[in-house]
Amino acid sequence: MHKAGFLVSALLVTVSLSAGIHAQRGGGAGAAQSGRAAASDDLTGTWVSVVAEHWHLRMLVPPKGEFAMLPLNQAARKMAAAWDPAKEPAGDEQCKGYGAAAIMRIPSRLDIRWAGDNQLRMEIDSGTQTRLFNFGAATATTQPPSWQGYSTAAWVRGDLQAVTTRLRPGYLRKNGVPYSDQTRVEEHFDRFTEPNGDNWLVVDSIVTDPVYLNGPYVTSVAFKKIPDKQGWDPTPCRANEAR
Amino acid sequence: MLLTLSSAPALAQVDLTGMWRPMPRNEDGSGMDGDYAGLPLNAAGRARAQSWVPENFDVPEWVCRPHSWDFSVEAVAVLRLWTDVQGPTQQVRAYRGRIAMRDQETTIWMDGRARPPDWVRHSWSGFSTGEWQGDTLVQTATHLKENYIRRWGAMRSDQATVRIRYKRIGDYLRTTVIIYDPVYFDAPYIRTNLFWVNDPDLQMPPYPCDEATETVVERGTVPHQLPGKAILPAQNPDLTDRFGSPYEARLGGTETMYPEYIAKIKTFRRPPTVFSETPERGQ
Repeated sequence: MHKAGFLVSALLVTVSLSAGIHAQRGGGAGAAQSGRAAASDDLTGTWVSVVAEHWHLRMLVPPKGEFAMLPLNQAARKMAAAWDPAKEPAGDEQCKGYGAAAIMRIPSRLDIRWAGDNQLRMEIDSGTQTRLFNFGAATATTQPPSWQGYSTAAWVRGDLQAVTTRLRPGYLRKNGVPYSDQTRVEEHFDRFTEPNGDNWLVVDSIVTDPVYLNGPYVTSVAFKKIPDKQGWDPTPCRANEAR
Repeated sequence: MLLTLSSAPALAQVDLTGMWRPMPRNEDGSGMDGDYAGLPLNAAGRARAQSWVPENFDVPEWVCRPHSWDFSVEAVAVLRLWTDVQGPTQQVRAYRGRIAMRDQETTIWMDGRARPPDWVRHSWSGFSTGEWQGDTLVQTATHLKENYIRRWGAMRSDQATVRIRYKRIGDYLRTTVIIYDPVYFDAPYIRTNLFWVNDPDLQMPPYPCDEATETVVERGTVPHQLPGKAILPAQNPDLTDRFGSPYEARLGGTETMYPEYIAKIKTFRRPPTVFSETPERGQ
């Protein structure tokens, strides 16, 4: 079923709304279908960030104390105020700014493919990260926290919706703005085609963190579809670089 | 039911109507007037932008200059959306919108009416039709007046076609604006904001604007700068902002929108002096 065929989607709206993000789990008409079979859109392919808004916040490492748009509490401000780029630890800790709560805003290329009938894999060249979106599976409560955490996914009203938890504490912004291991990331992936043939993927994120945020941090970013792996440029995690 | 849905494409898939409160935003974060980084300006668009000077705001005819609808949906103020329902059929004939700041309104015709000929008068909100794509309302506007895409000179032309996608995400409203401008842009310009929260208790405040002289501009004068003479701080090669942005990036252009430009930024000279204006920060 393709997004353009929204007549069927309309009939499913009521079911989807009531079932919410976990629509693919447990009983209901869609329970027997895999995430791939139930896909109401095709997100596969390579996508590139188009950074036409918040350019300085995204294309440069923001200076210390640059908190525009962030609903930070005092604890977060205190931590961010103590940030010292010269003292960022080496190795894996350089990936603090590439976690699931932040990575969609880092200028990147995404490559999205099905890794199985119930798993959609997103490779990200900036920081060489991998996100896995799991359909029809319970949250892996035993999985150790990681930069990309554990993402449950479902098709809701034509879009991919995902909720990510089990996150390792990281940076919401590369200038040391923290998020905690209690962070929850809700994302909506909306693909559409414009009359000129351009394919766009808009990703809306709602980040909540009871430890460091006073309220939800909501953002929306755009990616444009490009030929497979065009310009693909994997980089290591780098604390002092914008990507 | 299928028959009903297929014969009524204008039917709303979700309810977008009501009062929407803007959330904190940041237009571009640099704090320097004349910064076009991330904008797909071509040579004409850059020349147009560089000709602008702040005294434009003091020209009596421009003191109350409206912000066009496509600029206003960057969530600058309270938004109300409502429907115009045709009595006998109870079909939604149009979506209407109002944004408090500078009294902006739009009408998005859903009744399939034809777009007017090219010679019809242009306005701040232009002429708009709408369609539902799934649960997204898509507005297509033409017949627009030239207007800001940044409040320091960067413009889209009156020949632009603007498409705005309205999508509800729970209690949030997202607007995604894509501007196609054959005059000032080399590529489509996209801006997406998940910046509105549904708030039924909001009141729509009036926005009275009276012409007032803050800086005297001699009658008949059109404040401007000639090509290559821009005085805006971001167009000064020796100034930078608190981010350390290079002058070359601030000229804008399609390449500045893509991740690979980050590597190029590092090859540019860092201007020696930090512009001192204190920008808006945080909440």
